[in-house]
Amino acid sequence: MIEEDAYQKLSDYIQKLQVVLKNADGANEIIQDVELRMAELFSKQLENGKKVIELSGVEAVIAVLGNPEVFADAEQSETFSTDSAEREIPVEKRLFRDEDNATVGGVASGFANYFGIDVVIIRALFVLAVFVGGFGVPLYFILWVITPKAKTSFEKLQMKGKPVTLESMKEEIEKASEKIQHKTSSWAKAVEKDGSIGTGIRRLVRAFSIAFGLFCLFLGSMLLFSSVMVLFVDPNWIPAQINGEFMSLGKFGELIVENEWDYELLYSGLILMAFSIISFLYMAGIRALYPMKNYITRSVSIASVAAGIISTVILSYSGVNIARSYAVEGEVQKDILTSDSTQLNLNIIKEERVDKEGFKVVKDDHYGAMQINGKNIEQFGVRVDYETSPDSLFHVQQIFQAEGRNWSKAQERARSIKATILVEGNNIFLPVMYTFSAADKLRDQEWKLKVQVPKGKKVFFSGRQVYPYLITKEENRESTNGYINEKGEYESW
Amino acid sequence: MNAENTQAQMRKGILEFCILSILNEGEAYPSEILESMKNAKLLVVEGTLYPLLTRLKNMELLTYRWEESTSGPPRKYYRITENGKSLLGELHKTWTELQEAVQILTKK
Repeated sequence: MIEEDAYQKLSDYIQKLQVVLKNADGANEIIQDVELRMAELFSKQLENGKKVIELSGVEAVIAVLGNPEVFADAEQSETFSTDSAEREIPVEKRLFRDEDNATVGGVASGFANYFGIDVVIIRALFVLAVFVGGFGVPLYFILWVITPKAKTSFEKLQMKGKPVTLESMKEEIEKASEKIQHKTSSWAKAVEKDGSIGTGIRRLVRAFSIAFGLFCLFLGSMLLFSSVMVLFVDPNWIPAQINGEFMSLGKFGELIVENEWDYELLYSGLILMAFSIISFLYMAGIRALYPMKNYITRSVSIASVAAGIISTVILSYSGVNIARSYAVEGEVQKDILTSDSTQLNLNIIKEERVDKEGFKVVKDDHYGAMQINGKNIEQFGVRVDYETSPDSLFHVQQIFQAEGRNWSKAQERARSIKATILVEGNNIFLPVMYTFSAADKLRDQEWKLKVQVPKGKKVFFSGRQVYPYLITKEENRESTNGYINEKGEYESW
Repeated sequence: MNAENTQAQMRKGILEFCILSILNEGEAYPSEILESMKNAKLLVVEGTLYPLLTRLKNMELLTYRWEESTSGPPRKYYRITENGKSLLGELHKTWTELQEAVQILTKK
């Protein structure tokens, strides 16, 4: 309750304030604060027994608050910096990243600020460092990580080395709010303009996310299935035979890897890699369908990445290890025949196998490049290399080859290849199949025949001349090698 | 030279520093700020406080929150921000410099 003349005085006062403060930022807020204070003072007056606010009461309040001119004075002119002399408070320049003026991470802008060089020069230096020597990218990345971003306006001033005054702080904050305004208004405009287009695009993006998510889940499931099959079930599908049955991938692996320990390592590496990829795909799929981020997704992601890294290391090591066991080639030779005959005849040994009941095995299908029979590996194929003889005689040698980790191991393996040749006069009988112990592992074991032919003399295979031999009449290409395949057929190369 | 003018200038310069210092101790509403100033024997006309408070708030050196009160109107509790704390540190340095300089000069 307030008397009329008191009310008049009060509203006059407030009007005057508004006039005085008309150029001020937040004039309304200032007046709001004043009104609150007035309310406080008035309620104190009322507490003290007064029932009504009188003119004297208003005058008293005005006296406490001060005349409108007082507000004007307080509003004008800054305190620690005036226009005439801006006190240069030297501020230590600190290196920050300038994300407001950043192209990538604000590293170049930050450095430009710190050194006072134009940012274009710094950027040019980075680009140069990328192309010459290539260390530009990791350098930039390291700097990005270790340099903090200038977040508060105060830090931004420090970054630029500008003296920290109320003036400069005000400037920075105005700049920042301008930027935010600009961003939000252009975003708001864009959203406004699009309207239905915006929702349409959003729906399309959502549809893509769902499709992508389903694809990831599908891929992950396929991988899961194949991984389980290969790593755990291990069916027999490899076209090589063990004792009449198809081989499994696991068994095949055993024939390649040198020892038990290497095998276990390779196996664990594969399991980890499979886990890494499958869990990653499932995660990506589920998150595309149900966008969520919690400690589960985070821990699975970390586990997935960690498993990926570890398995890569393990598999690389395994790979190198396996490669090393094929590093050296060993070779042994055996002289088979020296003859002055006019021609050399090559033949196949027709093996007659008799099974348990005494039946002759007529047809014996071989599947693929090898078989395992009991403790031995059986492989097929012989190479025949022709050369001119240094004298007038035929010279034939049997050469065995195998690979290994070192020279002596490779030699040992070459020596243990069994391929028995029969010689009768100028007839050589070659076996189609050769064997070696499974314990030797698959180490590219093979054997070949080196035939040195004197000038003018010929070599025949099963009655047909194979050396000298014209492969194609048009090209006038002479055969220099031959290959006898597992069926016992001779091909000229 | 108007003595009053110079005095007013001196006071004005210190006032923002004082407001920030008071609020650095904890949040307060305008009357409390005035109370602290009175206790420190800093004579100030209340009217000068409000424009300064608003200006400091607009510069993000202060912020405020409303608190409803059963006995009377709601109160604006002002609080210093991180920016404000940083600036306070700088102003403090300046104040110490000035103090030392003035001490040396006025000893003569």
